[in-house]
Amino acid sequence: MLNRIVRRLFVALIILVSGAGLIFSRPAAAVTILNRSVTLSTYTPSATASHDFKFTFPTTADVGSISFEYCSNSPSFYSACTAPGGLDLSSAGLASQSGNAGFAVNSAASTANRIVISRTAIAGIVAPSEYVFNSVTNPSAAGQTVYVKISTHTAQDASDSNIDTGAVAFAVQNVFNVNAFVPPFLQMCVGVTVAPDCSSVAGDSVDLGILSSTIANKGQSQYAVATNDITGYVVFALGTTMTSGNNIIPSLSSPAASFPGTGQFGINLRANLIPIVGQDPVGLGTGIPTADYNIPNRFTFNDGDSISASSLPSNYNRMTVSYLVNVPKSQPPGIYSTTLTYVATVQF
Amino acid sequence: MFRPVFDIKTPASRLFFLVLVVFLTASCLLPFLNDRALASGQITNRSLTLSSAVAGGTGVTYTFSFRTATSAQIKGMKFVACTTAIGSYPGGSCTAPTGIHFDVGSFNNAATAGFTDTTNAFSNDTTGAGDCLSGASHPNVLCLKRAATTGNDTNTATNKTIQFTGITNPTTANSSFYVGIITYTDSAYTFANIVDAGTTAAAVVSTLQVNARVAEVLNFCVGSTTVDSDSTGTVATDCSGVSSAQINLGTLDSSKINITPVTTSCTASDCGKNAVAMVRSNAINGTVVYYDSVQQSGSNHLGTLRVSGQTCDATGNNASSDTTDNTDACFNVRTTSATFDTTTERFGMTVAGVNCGSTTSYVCTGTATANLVRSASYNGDGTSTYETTDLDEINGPTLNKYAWDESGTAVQIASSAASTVKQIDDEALILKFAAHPLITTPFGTYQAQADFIAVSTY
Repeated sequence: MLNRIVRRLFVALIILVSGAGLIFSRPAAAVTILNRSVTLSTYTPSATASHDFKFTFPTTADVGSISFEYCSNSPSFYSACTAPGGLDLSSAGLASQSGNAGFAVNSAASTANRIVISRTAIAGIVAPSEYVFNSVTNPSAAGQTVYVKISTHTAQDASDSNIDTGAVAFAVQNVFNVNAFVPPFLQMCVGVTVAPDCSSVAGDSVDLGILSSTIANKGQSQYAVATNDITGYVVFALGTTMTSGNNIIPSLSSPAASFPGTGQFGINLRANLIPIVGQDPVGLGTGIPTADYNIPNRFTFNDGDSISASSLPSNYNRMTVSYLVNVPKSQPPGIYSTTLTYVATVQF
Repeated sequence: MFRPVFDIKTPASRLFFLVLVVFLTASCLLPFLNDRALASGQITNRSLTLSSAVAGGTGVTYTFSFRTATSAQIKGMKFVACTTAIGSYPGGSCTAPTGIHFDVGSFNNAATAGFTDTTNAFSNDTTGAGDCLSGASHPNVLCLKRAATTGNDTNTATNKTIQFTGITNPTTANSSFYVGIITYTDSAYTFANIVDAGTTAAAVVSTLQVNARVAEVLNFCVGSTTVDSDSTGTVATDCSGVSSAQINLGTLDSSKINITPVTTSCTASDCGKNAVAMVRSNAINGTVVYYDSVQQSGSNHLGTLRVSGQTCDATGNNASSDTTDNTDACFNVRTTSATFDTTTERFGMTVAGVNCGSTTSYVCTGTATANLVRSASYNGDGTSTYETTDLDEINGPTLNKYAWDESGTAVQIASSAASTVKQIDDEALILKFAAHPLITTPFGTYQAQADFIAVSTY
């Protein structure tokens, strides 16, 4: 009888002690993963990106898997995870790894918001490690903080309790735009003299004096042009040769030298020696005289000809237009004149 | 059949119980039958204060406060720690609390107070004598003595103070122990010369641990703001108040430098705004803010302020001389910051300052006191001064220096990683953009795009 009582008491004691052990035993507390961060190749919402995780294992416990769980609600391991909207890890691959290496993506244990990488469990190394996942579709909500809970496990499918834990956070952002507008710009000035940047203009009439059949008659005017048209500009000369009533002085339809005693009217945009008149183009722009008007000592004029142009946006160029008039002895007397209009056109 | 061990009916058992009763009664009454002990006065108002009640705690200060009952000479005092109160009485059977070490402590005479004789100081008797034996072999006993005193200690109305430092507490957590105080008229601690006695009580406890976990925090947002200062104005209470992912530099003119906030030539919705990047993070290793220029469509210089889709000159915008590509639809930029003037085509950005209007967790009054520190190429004028004249359309040159990296790689513009305090509470980087076209800069709508990034290392 006593033996039975003693045996029962002994058994009860064993149960009590065992139960107390179960009640008061606690799992070993997870150690915090150190120096952890995540960097995305692009923070554009919904973009396909690579996610670069860096951290240091805090312990040398055997590690068979690492879990990266993306949550929008909390980094706490005691909270249920809400998957960030738009995030898709299903195509994610482990592009590179260093430090504690030898892992491969465990597709069976991974989900749309959780990547598990696994290896045969071996002791961890307390050293910086890096894991880069590519083909990750970013969350879609701009500005939303996304937490990634990182945990190490002994089991290869990360199904057991955490060994070490830590969380990182990132926020995807809409692309930030800086806008500006550069307005169209074309400036042209015409005068007897103009400043290279059109800051001053003087005169609108050129007097060639009394025409002679023995010497070349000459004069000059200027214009300057600048534009920011990406295709540049073209300057045209519109008008007629010099006339007096029904009497005309023939214009040179192609570039020709000065021959006093013959009827000639022409212009060019160069510095000439025969006769001495004109000036070469000046300025920082890319404008140049067109070919027929770019030959020193050769003059021509055709109504509507383009006389200078630039194929690029051009800073100011000042052109000096040289006028040549020769008349024969038989040229009827009179007051000869013409009105020339210089027009710059762009393609805004 | 039940058979008791003792049968009360037998003479032997009766004799055994009689002896047992007498023995127990005598044991209980023995302390009270000591006529000399009973003759001593009762020390009153007695207390013991421990500077730390941690079990096994070291370097603990024990401060005794008490009033003696008898006007008599006090040349010796004994402090004895026992597991029971009765054990600490004069003549009591004392069991020392496990782990207690009075012997490693020191007497702090400077704290002594309340004795009539203030001339003859007590000293720590590290070996003791008579009824008070101390030292390593008696680690629960402290003895104080003085060779002479001026006369009777007549102060029985106010408290006396005795203090010992450097004591090691008992090691059994959540246990009480008792320290008896006994005074003697001689410094030899003669049992017959006991004057007064009394016992104090104390307890050592387990250290209570309160565990909590602070979750990782990162709030990062980019938007526009009308705030144009690092010391006045609040961008927003937090990131929830930051919006609009664009700003406008307005209509550019080759005679002016346009700097945000632009108010002269802009559309109403975009007028008067800087860009802003606000960060909140509790990362203990700091947070770094980057930007990378988004590569737009077209050819060459895809990351600068450009007309999307255009083919720009292949020549390097980052070269020291960039006179050859002032006619394409891509603004020239520099990765090293510089002031802007009206002679060169430029686009750039700077962090004009750090606004702390929403910072509440620590003192931050502006750029100089912020935890986010700007990078060298994006630090305004290079000082902590917020330049107030760099805005809208100016003739130049600018006071701030501006830079832009068109390559698309991430460029750091601010960081708290090297700061003393690395956590950030809603610090706002005020981002100013500036642009100046040349006369040959093709007309059109220009845009620069950027990703802003915050990387916290926890």
